[in-house]
Amino acid sequence: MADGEVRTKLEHLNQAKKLVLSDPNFYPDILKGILPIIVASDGAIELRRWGSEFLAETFSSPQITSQTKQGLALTCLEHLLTLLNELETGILKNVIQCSSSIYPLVFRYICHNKSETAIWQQMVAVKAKILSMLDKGAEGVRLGCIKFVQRIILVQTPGASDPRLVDKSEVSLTIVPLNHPILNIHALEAEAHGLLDRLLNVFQDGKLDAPIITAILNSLPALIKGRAAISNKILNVLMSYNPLVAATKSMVFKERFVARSLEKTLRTVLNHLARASSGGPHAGKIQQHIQRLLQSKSEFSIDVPKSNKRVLPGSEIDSVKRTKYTRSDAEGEYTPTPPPPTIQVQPSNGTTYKTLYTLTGDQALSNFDVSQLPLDMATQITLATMYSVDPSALESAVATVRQRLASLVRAAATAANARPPPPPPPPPQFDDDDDDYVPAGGEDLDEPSRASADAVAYSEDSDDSYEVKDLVPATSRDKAAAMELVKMPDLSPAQIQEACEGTLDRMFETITTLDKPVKKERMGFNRLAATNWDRDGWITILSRLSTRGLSGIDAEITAKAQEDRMHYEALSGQVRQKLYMYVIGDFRTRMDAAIAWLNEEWYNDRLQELAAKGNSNKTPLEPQYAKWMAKIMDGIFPYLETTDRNIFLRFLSELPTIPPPVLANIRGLCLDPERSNLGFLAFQYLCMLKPPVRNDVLGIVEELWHNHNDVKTAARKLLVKFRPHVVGLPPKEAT
Amino acid sequence: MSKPRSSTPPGDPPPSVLSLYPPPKNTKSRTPPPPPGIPGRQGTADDFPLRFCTVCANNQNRSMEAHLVLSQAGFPVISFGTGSAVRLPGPSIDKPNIYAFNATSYDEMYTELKARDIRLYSANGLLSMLDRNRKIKRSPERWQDWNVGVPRVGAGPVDKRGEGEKTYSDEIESGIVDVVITCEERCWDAVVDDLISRGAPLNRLVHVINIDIKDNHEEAAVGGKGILELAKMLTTAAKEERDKAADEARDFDRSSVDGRVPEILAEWQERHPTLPVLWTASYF
Repeated sequence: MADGEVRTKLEHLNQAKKLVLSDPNFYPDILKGILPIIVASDGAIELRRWGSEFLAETFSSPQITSQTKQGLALTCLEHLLTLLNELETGILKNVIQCSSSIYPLVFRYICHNKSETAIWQQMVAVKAKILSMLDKGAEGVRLGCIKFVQRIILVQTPGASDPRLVDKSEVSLTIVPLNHPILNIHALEAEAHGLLDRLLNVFQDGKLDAPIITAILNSLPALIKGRAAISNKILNVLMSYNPLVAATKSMVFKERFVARSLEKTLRTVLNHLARASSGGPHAGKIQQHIQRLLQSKSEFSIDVPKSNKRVLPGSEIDSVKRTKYTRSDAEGEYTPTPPPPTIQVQPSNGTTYKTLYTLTGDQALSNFDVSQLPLDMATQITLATMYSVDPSALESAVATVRQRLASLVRAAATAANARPPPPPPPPPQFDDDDDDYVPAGGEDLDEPSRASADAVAYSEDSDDSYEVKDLVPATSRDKAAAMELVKMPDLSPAQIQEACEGTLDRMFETITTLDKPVKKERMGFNRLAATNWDRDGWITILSRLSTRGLSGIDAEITAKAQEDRMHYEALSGQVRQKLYMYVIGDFRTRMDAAIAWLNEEWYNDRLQELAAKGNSNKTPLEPQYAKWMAKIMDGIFPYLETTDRNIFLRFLSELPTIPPPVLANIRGLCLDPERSNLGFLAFQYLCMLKPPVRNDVLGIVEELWHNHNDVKTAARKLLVKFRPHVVGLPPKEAT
Repeated sequence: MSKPRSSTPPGDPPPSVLSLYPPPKNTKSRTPPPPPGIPGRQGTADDFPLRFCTVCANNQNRSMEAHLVLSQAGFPVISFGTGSAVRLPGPSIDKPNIYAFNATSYDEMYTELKARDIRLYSANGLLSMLDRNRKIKRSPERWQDWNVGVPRVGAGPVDKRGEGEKTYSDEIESGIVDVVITCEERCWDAVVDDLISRGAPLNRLVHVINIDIKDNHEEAAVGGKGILELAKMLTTAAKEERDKAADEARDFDRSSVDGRVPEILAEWQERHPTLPVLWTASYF
């Protein structure tokens, strides 16, 4: 074909293209018109180049409806098949792109047209041709193939089964009718799984085929998000993939650059998935892998010099934005762990604690004076060792010491037979918590705990240690006997009070910061007072402390304070005062606490009463319930509003008894014009549901009815119901 | 300036152009707009087989500088920003000028800022930047709003010089590009993430490359030159591959420009060690 002819044709084609670009409605007609020209295998290559590009753009265009595309696809299929015989990468790329777009369309068409075997045969031929290029085509072609494979997998796996999530336009195995004559669901799905495995293989073969791997990485999220059946499999592969591992060995510049790009792509994909599945079952796993990748990235120092980046004088302005490149490559000072001290089973001559407990043969280590260490550091070391010590090493150390002790016991027994025993000295005190404890008796005894492993053995061994007192030679023993720990003076009542005050403050601080439990579980009889450390638990503990726990101590200290003629406010009283302040601080939300506490008080009062009855020697403690109940009422009455009806009535209902001063308070409410309703409501409630106070209440109401005109009507209502004779009505029949 | 690193998602970077403030003293090294007589024109598809797209946060400084440089050299190129809005430095650090993407044109911004404080905005280089930009295309565009595949013809700056004359290239006939070059890692993240979200309905391969460029006029100029060099290298390789394929012998060539991208980038990186580069192969 002559050059000039080709050029004219191309010009015509370009004009046609201009037309469809300006109005996509022309696509079907124009495509049909030019199709024979642009795919003819005997035509000029330029025409086929142009044609393949046009086809790819047409089926990618967002301006054509998928219905139109489907119609066009059916006419183009056979030509695509011929074009796939081309060898030019550019043309193949375009044709494969085009096929990726067409595949779902044809698949849907076949689903609905069960007799179109010929069309499906063509599609299958196209598919086979493209899949054959997946592994051995040119790089650009393979990249296209990957996208095609992704499309096939999307189409040939079941989509969302939840009808609410089904996207009507989506093509998946779900839309294939059962018993379709051409489409065999199981075969298609098996093929999809096979293809997926081929894609995922690249993550395991360890090659750094960067374009292929990044392309696959970028294709996978659609599969994970849209196809639940295979998402686990893909995620598992991604979770075990770390591109930096393969690259760390290489020093080639390009490979390090590629590894960095792969890692970043993987991380971006994972971030995307983590965001998409936030709250899902995989989100945690994904986040972990992202962290792992960041970790290995920071270990993988990349050759791109970041530090010598051109810096403008005075351009520290946006240094913040650069921080991500100035990652610290310093890997941190690493001190090699010394080999563990070998245990020397030397025959100890058993003269001192030091030799008894010294297990290491390292001279330098045994001469180290542990008492030089500050206490907190020693504690930290000991704790850390305790956590990390090898149990078998510990056991063998303990066994060694045990053995030494046993031999000492035998030696001492023979010695004791030879001479009368001296008076037994007080046993040296071994305290598990205080590993720094040093019996200050003498030089020989100054280091019972040696290296930290020994310290472990030492404290573990404290049960056996009392035997030592009979074993050590008399000289040391006497020194040890002379040693006595300074006894701390007892705290004065004032100090106790102060300490208690501080403790209480801290407890209430904790309580106020604790959130209210979202939902109260009803445990029925299985309920324990304080099962977990939530707010209710603390309140229970505090109220029981005030009522029961502290009363005994209080009695003791009060006696002492009276001796010293000092003022002493009982600890329980202090706790109560704090509880009171706590409830008053926000009585609307803390009413539960008040109810719980007051019930405890009431119960305790009864217990005290019973105890006093049973034991005449014992004077009952002052009853607390009525006192604090009235106090709380006094505290909240000024603030009660009509809107607090529910809280207030509940409060009254859940308390065991209502003391008279409280009734007087409620009477005050009745006389307050704004809260009169609340008062009468409370009275009515008490009359109806608390018979023990009914008479008292009605007495007050009667008095109100007589003396106060403002509330006469409200009072009358109550009286009509309960004391009709007062208001001049005939007494009601007992019902 | 020590603003804390914000934890905004990749699509919403902080006002990075703000780092222009306080204004740099020397703004001469910026590529001047070409004289009216020599506008950049899009070359033929034979000479420029690859289509480019430049992306930064605001579609103002770095991406537009690269847009200008590439279009002057004849490359088909378009440009975008990935931020949530266009943020330009204002009278103080906490008072940026914020405009909507796609809605406000460069010309309107230019006119508005000029009227507001001509001295300040000339001194910090904003006015000359906007003046350049309004000659390239109409308004800043947001990447996330780009409808890929819709033909872009007839786009261009507001003040076309002369009847129907294109001053700079801002046209991609097919509406698809082959290479996206971002100017900041955050923007790369946003672009790659956005491509995944779109689900690649077009099945079209695209290389997404990040070249880290600081957001100031000087670095933008340096970065623009680097991007031009990279574009030339990629295009040369693409032409080589095409010519090889078009040879009469037509041996099935294992290589293609797509396979050579990492190699080319590594080579480019060695020449430009101060502009860290990152890349992935994704799909539209």
